[in-house]
Parts: sequence; C-alpha cells; structure tokens
Amino acid sequence: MGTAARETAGAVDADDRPLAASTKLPAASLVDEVEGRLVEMAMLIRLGTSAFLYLPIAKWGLLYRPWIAVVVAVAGTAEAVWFTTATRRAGGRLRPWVAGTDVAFCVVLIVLGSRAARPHDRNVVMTELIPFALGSSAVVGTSTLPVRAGIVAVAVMMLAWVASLVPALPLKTASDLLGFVLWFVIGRVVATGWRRLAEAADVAREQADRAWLELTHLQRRTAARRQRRQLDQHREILHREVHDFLLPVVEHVAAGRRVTPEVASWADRTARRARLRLENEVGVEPIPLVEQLADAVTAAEARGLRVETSLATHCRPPLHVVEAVVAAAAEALTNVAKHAGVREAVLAALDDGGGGLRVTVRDRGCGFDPERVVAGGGLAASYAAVRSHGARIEVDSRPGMGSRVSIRWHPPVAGEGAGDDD
Amino acid sequence: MTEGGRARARVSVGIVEDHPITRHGLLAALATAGFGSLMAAESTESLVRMPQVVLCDLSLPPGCRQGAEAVEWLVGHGVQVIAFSAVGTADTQLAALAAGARGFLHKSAGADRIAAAVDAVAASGYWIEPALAGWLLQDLQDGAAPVGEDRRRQLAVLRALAQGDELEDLDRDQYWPAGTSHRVVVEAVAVFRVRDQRHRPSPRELEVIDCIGYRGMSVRRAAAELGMSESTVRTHLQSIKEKYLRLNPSVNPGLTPKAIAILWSSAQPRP
Repeated sequence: MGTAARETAGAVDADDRPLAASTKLPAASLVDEVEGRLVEMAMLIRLGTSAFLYLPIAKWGLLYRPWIAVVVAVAGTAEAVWFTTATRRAGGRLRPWVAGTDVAFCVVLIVLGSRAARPHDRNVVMTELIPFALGSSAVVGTSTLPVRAGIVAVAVMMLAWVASLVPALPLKTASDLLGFVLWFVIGRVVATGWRRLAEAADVAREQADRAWLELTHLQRRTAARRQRRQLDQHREILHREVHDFLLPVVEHVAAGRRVTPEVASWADRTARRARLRLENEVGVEPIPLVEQLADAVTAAEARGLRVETSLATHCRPPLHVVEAVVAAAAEALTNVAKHAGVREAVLAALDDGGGGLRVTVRDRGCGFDPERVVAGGGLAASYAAVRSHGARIEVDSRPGMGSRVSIRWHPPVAGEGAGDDD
Repeated sequence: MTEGGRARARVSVGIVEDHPITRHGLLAALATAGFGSLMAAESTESLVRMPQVVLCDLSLPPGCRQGAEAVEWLVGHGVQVIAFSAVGTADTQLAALAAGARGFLHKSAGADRIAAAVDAVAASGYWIEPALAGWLLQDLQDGAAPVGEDRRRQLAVLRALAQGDELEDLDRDQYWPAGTSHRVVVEAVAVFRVRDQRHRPSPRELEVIDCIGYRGMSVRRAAAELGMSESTVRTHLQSIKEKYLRLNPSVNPGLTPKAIAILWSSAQPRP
C-alpha cells in the first residue's frame, strides 16, 4: 500500500462507522453525541435554575402567603429531578413530550408562585422566578419540538407571565418577555447549528469509510493480480533454471558419468543461480536493481568468481540509473576476477540515508595504488556513465589490502535539475 | 598441534540436520578442521546431550521443532547456535537471529568458512555474513531508534560488515581499540532482538489482525469470534497500532487502530 494511500484513506472506526483521523473523536455517530451534549445542557439549566426558586423564602416577612413560596421551591426541585430522570430514560434525547410537560409545569409554577405575594407586590416573587421560567424557554429551543409548537409554547408562557403580574405591570415586564423570546431563539439557533454540523460530519465520515473500504478492496485485488503475475513469472524462471541448469547436472550424475572439474563448476554455478532466485524472487515484488545485480553476480560467477551478496535496499532509482550502476558494479566484479588475484568478492547494495543508494564491490585481493593506476577501457566508460547520472564513484585500495569500489547515488533534490528523475 | 588446533579439539560441536548426506558431509568437514568432539542428530529432540555449539538446520521435517523454534529451544539449553539453511531469506535469517542464533551459514559454505564460524561462535562471538549484516542495517535504519553515538557506530559497523569488511579492518580504519567493533555488533544484535520482541504482535494480537485486517470483521464480531469483550479487542487494536507506528514511523499517526490493523494485514502474509 502506498504512503499516499495510507495518508488519504481516512480511517475506519472499530465499529465500522466512519471516524476522522483523530483518536480523540468519539466512537458513536456525531449526531448522537451532539444530542447527548444538548440534553446535558438542558438538564443543567433545569437543575441550576431550580435553585433560584428558594430565594423568595428568604423574603418570608414580605410575603402574603409564604407557604406558597415553599411549595413552589419544592415542586420546582422535584420537577427538575423528574426532568433529568425522564430525559435519561428516553435514551438521552430531549423528547417533545418532556419539553411540553416542562412548559406546562412552568406555567402552573408562574401562576401559583405569583400568588405568594400581594397583587401589587408580585414582582418581589416574580423576579426570583424569572431564571426558571427562561430556562423552560431555552429547553423548548434546544428540544426537537417543531418550530411552530415551540413558538406556541413560549407564547403561552409569556401570556401566563403577564397574567400573573396583573394588575401591576412595570416596564421590566417587557424585558422579561424579551428574555423568553431571546432564550428560545438562542436555544434553537445553537441546537439547529450543532445538529446540522453533526449530520454533515456523519455523512462525510460515512463517505470516507466507504472510500477507505473500496480502496482497501481495490488494493487487495491489485495485490492479488500482481501476485498472480509474479507467480507466473516465477514459474517460468524456475522452469528455465531446472531445465537449462539443474537437470543437465543431475542427469549427468544420475547416469553415473564422471564428475569432471567442468561439471563440478557447472553444478556450483547452478546452485548459486538457484539460491539467488529463491532468495530474491519468491513472494517478493521484483526489484529491478536487485534482479539486475543478481544477473551481474551470475555472470561474474561464470568467470569463476565467488560473489557474496548483501542486497538490502529499499531504494528504487530510475531505470537508467539502475542500468548505469549495475554496469559499473559488473565492471568492478570483472576487474576483481581479472586483476585481484582472488576468487572471492562481496557485492553490497545498501540504503545510503536520505533515499540514496550505495553499491560496493569489495575484494581482499592484491589491491593497487589508485594514484598510479588509472581506470581505462570498460571501467572508464561505465564510471563516466554513472557520473553522468549524478552518482559518485569512490575507489579505495592499497597494495596488499584489497579494494573497495563504492558507487553512491542520491535522488536529486527539487530544483537541482539533474536528469535522473524522469 | 597449534594453539588453534588445540582450541578446536576442546570445542564440542553438534549438527542438527535431517538430510544424511549433508549431515555426514558436515561431520567430515568439521573433523578434518580439527574439531574433536562431534555429534549429529536428525532433530533437536534426538540430541542426547548438549554440545557447546550447534549447527542447526532451519528446515527440519514436520513433527520436529523447526526454524526459530528449534533455535530458541537450543539457546534455552545454553547452546551457542549457528543457523544453517540452503535458503537464507531476510525473514529466515532475522527470525533465527531474533530467536538467539549467533549467526547464519548457507549450506553451500565451504569447510573453511564453517570452521571459522564455529571458532567465532565458540569464542562467544557472532558470525554475521554480509547478507545478514545488510538486513540488520536495514532494520536499524528503518527503526525509530533515537539518533546517538551508539546508533551511529552500530550503523557504521553493520554497513562495513555488509560491504565485506572484517571487524579488525574496521577497528584499524576507525582507530578504535581492538575489539570495539565486535562489542558494537553485540550491541546492534541486542538492539535488534529487543526491537523485534517489542514490536512483534502477540498471538492474541495476531488473531485480532486476522479477524479485523484479513476477514474485515467489525470489532463487535471480532469480539464474539474471539470470545473477548469489545473493549479488550480495542485495547489489542491500540497496542497493534503502537507497535506498527514504532516500526513504521513514516505512517500517519492519525490513522485509527482498525485502519492500522488493515495496513498491517496488507503488508504481511496471513499467519
């Protein structure tokens, strides 16, 4: 799977519900989450404002019927508790019937509470009742009641408020009524905005989820096709190895013919070829660089050189760079076979940090003085080809200490303009 | 007899190999090299006593301990193990090393090299050939280990080994006291083993990857399938995610645990 795919594929929540790429987001749908938060807010308003109902009791001496104030406070608390319980039992949703009952109770409370004071002193009590009454307006705003039903409910509460204050209707009554409208509107705007955002987010997550699953299926199908192609390729290679290399040796030995040095050499070469194939191809995506280096090794071994390999690189240079690097490595192996005086060498292809590649050919032969021996012939040509693609070649050798030829290539950085990135 | 010859005569070497021709060939090669105490068995179960060093074939027949399991068992009995196989892919060699092997040899290795490997391992050392060094280097480069002088040295030593240098060359070229490179190799192998164990999914986590990654189950279904609670499955998924991110620091850490399980299943053959 490509990195880009990993990063853009979004994410799938553990319950097959879509989830944005953050572990802090809740597992449930956002709509449920928002409803839960709105309900918490409504319960807090209802419980919090019920405390204000106890304040008129402090004005005991000023009240006409103080016991009504006590009844109102206790009933308000009981209703707040009922509101919380009923909402929780309703699955954490603010149901219309709960909001409607709250409004009806509020109307009764307003009318009854106002009777605790004498007709011209009712504002003394009503000032303390206003937070509870406005709370009902906010609850209606945040509930799922239809807008018209909500407006009617608020209007009923406003009428009850005015009726309770009669005969004294101070200017403050207008601000109280404005408060009813305002808290209803605020509750409605906030709740509707949150719900719409949550719905949009849920739809987006659903789409991301589907896209992610489709991408995963697509990648699996692609991987399966690629695997089939690899298997076909591998079968063909194995067929060639068995038919052209392994069988002739085995049949020769099985027939009881003499194992000459040539046959032993052929058998050795066959075993190396088979091992390289097994280690570099089975179940592994073909890597052009490794494949081509393996071929270079086979060619060197045909000349009698035993080559140990260390091909551990993620680097995927452009094909023309691969060809130039492999040609230079093959040339270096040829030089070992011709001049080093040993029959063994090591070929390594390793990552060089920052996406770079380092291919080295090491022998422990006679070595030479690089200042006195200048590369010529095929070596000079292949070194020049490598350098033309932005790679560097370092030759480290000392007489008697063997040689190391290192070919280092780094992908060109943006703006460098090297011709290696096509 | 030379000092080296006397030392070899004192080392007891075992061969665990099911193929009779290879077994006899190895015995002959080691006897010719001067190793005095030799024994051979078809499997770890057939070893009558524990030698100091064992050359253990990684592809033993079904019914026997095989591969890393055989290596782990031998190491658990105080044996220095050299893993031995005709095919040495990165996975097999690294798994053997993680299980406690002190090196890997191809079956095609010549008698001199086999003897040298046994010498090195009998002296409590390691036998890291270029291919294995290259994969260790790659593992270290891919890991999210903190950059420091130790890591730089480990990278340098593994790179040198992968390129065919010998530890003595490296000590000399870097002006390090003799034995420094060997110590760094020991450290690098220890780091690899810790990383491997820390990042390897547990058997239960592999089951979760199987259900969710390969079979596309939801957490609820996976929990029912595996007989565990949903929260336990989520805990496993979180652990899988942490291990995956440590192994693959370039992956977007915002991906959910389930997405990581799918990624892990895409990258690995099904267990």
